[in-house]
Amino acid sequence: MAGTNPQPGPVVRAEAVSKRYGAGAAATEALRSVTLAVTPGEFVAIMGRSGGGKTTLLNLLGGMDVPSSGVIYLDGHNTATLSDDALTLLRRRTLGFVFQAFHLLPTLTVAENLAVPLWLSSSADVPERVAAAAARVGLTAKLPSFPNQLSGGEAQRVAVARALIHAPRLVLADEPTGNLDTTAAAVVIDLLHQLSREQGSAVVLATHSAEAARHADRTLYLGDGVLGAAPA
Amino acid sequence: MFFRALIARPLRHDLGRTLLSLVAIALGVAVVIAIRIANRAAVASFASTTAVLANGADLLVTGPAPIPATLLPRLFPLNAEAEILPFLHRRAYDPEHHDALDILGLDLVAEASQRGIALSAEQSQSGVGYPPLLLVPHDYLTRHSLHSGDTLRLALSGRLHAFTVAPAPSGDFALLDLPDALEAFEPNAAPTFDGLRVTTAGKADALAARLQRAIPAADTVSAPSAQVANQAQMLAAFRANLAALSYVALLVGLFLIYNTVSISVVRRRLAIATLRALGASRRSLLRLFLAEGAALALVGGAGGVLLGWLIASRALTLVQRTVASLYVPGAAVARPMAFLASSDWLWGLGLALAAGLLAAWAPARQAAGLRPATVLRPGAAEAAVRARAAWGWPASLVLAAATVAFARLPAVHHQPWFGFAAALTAVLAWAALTPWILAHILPPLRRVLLRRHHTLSGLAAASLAGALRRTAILVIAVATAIGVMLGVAIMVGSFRQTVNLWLAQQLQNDVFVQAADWDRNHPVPLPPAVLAAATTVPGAASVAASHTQPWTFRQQPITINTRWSLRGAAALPRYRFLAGGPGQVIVSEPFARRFRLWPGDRFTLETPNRPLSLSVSGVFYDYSSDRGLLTLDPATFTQGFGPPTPTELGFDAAAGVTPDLLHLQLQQHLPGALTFLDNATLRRQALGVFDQTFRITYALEIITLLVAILGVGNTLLAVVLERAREFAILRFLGATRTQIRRLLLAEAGVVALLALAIGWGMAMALAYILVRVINVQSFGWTIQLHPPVAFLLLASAAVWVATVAAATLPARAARRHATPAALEAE
Repeated sequence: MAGTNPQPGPVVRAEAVSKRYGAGAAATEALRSVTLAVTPGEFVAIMGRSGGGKTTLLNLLGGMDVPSSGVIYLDGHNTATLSDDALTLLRRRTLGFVFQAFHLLPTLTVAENLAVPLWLSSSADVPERVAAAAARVGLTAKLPSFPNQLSGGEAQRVAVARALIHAPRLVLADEPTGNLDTTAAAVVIDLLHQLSREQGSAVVLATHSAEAARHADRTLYLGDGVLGAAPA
Repeated sequence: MFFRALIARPLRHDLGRTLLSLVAIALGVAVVIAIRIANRAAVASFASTTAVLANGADLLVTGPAPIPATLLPRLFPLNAEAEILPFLHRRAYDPEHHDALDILGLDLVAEASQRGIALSAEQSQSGVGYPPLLLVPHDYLTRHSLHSGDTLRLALSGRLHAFTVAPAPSGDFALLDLPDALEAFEPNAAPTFDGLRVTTAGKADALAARLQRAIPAADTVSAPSAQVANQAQMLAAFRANLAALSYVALLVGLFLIYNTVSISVVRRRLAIATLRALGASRRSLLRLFLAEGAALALVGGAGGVLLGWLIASRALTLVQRTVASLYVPGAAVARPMAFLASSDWLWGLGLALAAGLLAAWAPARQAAGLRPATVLRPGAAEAAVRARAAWGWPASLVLAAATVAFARLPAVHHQPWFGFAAALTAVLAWAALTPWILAHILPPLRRVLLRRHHTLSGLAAASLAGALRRTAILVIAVATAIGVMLGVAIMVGSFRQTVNLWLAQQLQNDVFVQAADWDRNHPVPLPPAVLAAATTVPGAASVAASHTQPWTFRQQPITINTRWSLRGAAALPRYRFLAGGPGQVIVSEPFARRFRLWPGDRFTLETPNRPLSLSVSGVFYDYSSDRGLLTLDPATFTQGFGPPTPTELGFDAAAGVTPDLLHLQLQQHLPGALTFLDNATLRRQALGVFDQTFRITYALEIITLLVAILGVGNTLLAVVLERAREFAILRFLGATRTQIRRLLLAEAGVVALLALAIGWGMAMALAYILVRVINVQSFGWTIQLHPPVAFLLLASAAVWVATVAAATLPARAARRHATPAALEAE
């Protein structure tokens, strides 16, 4: 069972992780023996072409999928040894997610979308924390709005605020600027960088944009399932 | 090609959900077809019975009372052009086997060859022998292990008679030679017949006119087919009510087709937008989704017709029992097959197709109206599908006004068509109001629940509020089933309690006696020996007598009765008057409504002695029969019909004598084949007949509710597929699989609660229309409102549990579908 206190060492560590889809001749190897460690507060960018395995890696790091081989330690816990409920509780406490397609809940207002991670973890002071999170991303006026009443940039700012509202140790951001114009993309990346720094959250950013990766402490390249240093 | 890619393939892919839709539609159509077949077969049983009676005759002469043999000489002038044969048609009670047998008394020797009866040469020359030969239908012989030559004892006119049994050539009636029948049925009276069969080589119409002039005015001459039509007319209200109820299941099915197609549109909006962007016209998309509705309806409808045929035989049994209990005892004799006609196929498929196209119209228009630019823009999946609900309350107001207007209109040919229209508009008024109600309840409910950290129920309410149109249809479908179920339950419960109270007023004596072969259509006069003994039975303080007989008034069947005290000051039935009060001539409410005769009105009654000019002094509540009851005081009755002979006796126990002891005394002292019933047993039997009558109603309601609950399961399953992305997001945000499952169950619980609230509103409106409009117009009786509160609460709780249980499978599916793949698909 995952403990309640943060574990020392890397917030997430992947050791020789591979992921195969399908079987036999039709099998596709999305990841090949990937090894990665992200330390607390570190901002890591993973670049690569579409279909290169970035989303697969993030799903594995976030415990949303299981590797075909290799081990992943999330906050010091081997994800393969945890029950589904234990993994969910660990994810709830440790992780925040930002997606390319925003993935706000369409039937909830902005305020309610921000509150969901807090509700699920039965946190206190929900209204105050929601108001603070909205203020940090400059969307206080949009709190009563529904997602379909937001622009793409605004929706992604809400998604960033939601990912960070419960001060997770790690934020996994999958192409968060993929659907945004240059200006909106810059705002979102700046916010992600600034807020994670303020809270001490580590970030793993999957992107194919060099501009987005500019803020990263470390940039890696994932191509054909193999993770390596970014080409010069 | 688009149909295969956009409609057929997804339907095949979601096979489980498609099958659920088809089952729901099939059940809706099946109920309609089963009732249609059963109703038709009930009428066919009349035709079958009449065909055996007529045996090829062109005309039948029948009357409200038996035809005296003294009439025959007046018909001799017609013998040159027609063959006129009398017959008796009575029901006998078989005390040994506790069964009843319909007996046709006719000239066996004369009709032997015509009816395929094999008689020996001796029988043909000198009669059928002694004990008399009774030709008994094969299935009756088999049922009671009787063989040719066995002796069978039957109660006829309150006496036991022995017969030698032989197999009958046909399956409907037992056949008895006419002289033996007269001896058995009419031992002490001048011979009478139940009818005359008339066969002519000439024109039947001309002969009918001449016959009519020669017989009493109350008797009728008609072709056998006209008699069948008359009997069918008697059942018209019963059949119409049953048919109306059967259509409710289809209405619920219609809502579900709407939801199925609607969800198809939502799930395929990206494909639709892409097709539109590539040049597909709005019209082609409209056709595409109408075709989906039509395809589901036709396949489900075809299954429904076959299923309807399969359950029709069970429905037929229930319908025939009701018909036999309330209308025509002999209707249960003929057991026609529940056959499936080509018109049933046409009707079932036509109805299903119409329902499918009607239900698919709105979502198909929605599909055709989708704007590619809006749908295809990034993040468009987050556009909430909240429908405008503002039109709900004005539409509801108009429909409610229509309900009031329809409810005030009179019956058309004794059929409450406007009453049915009022019931439909009442349901539609609530349906129209539902989105408006939900739009005003769900958002605040969501806010309150979420603020109070009821996260799952709050998210459930939010999801339901976000997909208001889908939620509204789901709630309407379940609410309609609940509304009809509870509305009919209120009506039936009120009716039962009203009948119970009425029975307490009617049945004033401790023990009742009637001939063992007594039935509603032939209330057999008690033998003189019984009447003589009745006045001297020890333990009886007083004896009430009642004479009941069928009669015809203004060409319609009625019942006439008179009551008096045979010995001492016997307790007579107490009447509760709707209008006027006691007097020489009082009429039942159905009689007053049917013939529009109220206190103070005068009318002429044709009687065997002379026409009587009568004035109504009171109209009393009565639930014995919808054909109408005319109650005369003994003196008035005697003026028209002669001295009445008791057909029922009621005995009051003397002081110190218990009803059980009196019962025993009566069994010991009264001779003949009689039925003895104490007060409590008679009331129990009467309520038993009542419950039997409504058994098919309950069956229809349960099927309707099943369709609605299947619809809940089906829609939630579709919701799971549609919202896989949403569940995946929740999983990313830290929701456990159990929480996802509970979320779905919470949604079903909220839907069930809302449907119950709206269903209760519908039920109140429907109960009022059923009690105050449809029942009064169909049967002519006023029911006092006595809602069965405990049953209603229990049924509501059961519906809530069943609805939540229907979400179990979708909830399990939700756990499975909440995966990262759901987000990648986006």
